[in-house]
Amino acid sequence: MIELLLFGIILGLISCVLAGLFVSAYYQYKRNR
Amino acid sequence: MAVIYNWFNDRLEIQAVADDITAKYVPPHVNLFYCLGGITLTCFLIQVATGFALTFYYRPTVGEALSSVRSIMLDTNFGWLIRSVHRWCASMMVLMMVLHVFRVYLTGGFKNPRESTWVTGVIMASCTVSFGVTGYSLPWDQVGYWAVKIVTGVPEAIPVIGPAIVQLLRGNSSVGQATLTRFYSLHTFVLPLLTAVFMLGHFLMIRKQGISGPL
Repeated sequence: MIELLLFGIILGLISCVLAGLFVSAYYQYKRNR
Repeated sequence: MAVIYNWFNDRLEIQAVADDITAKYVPPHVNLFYCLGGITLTCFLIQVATGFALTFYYRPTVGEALSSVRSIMLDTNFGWLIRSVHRWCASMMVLMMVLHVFRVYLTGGFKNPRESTWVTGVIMASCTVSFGVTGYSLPWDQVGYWAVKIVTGVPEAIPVIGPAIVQLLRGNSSVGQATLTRFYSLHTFVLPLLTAVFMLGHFLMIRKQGISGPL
């Protein structure tokens, strides 16, 4: 039984957080260079 | 107000605690994603509060579990709200914990000298998943019953000691009242206690070592 809303929250948050972590890592790298 | 403050300060030196708290500063590399661990803790506290409320009305017997859950949802004042918050917050807690693991892993927060903080975190992650597994079966509906049957049957594949572990989990050779009692006891007593102990260790170590450094 897949709950659509929960499924969307999970996939949406996982992708946003992963993308955000890599973007913030890139900004740190740019600032330190 | 000052009298009360001085009364406590004379006995417990609360000024030292206040000084320690206010002396810590937030490093510039800290961003929104460093909140995920705190959000997981918030979810846990909500789970404790709503779970405690649910124990007033839930009856852990195979004959009454489902009807008591139905009664919570339909008859008890705000029972539908409390149970729904408990159910949703359980999913959110697991999700926030996974996101917190992403943050710790990708920022290298598990490295020397924070290995033991990581280990306590892994143990708490196991506890969180166990909370989910035991809680899922408590309503003793069709999905809950078959879930517990499958989950407790998994260790059967382990050679030699497998059957003994299955027996230990079920409290019998088949799934029944003994299993529900064990799952209820694990869900409301053993796991919260374990989680609280490891949580204390986790936070004390974070307090001692501070937030992990920039990349």
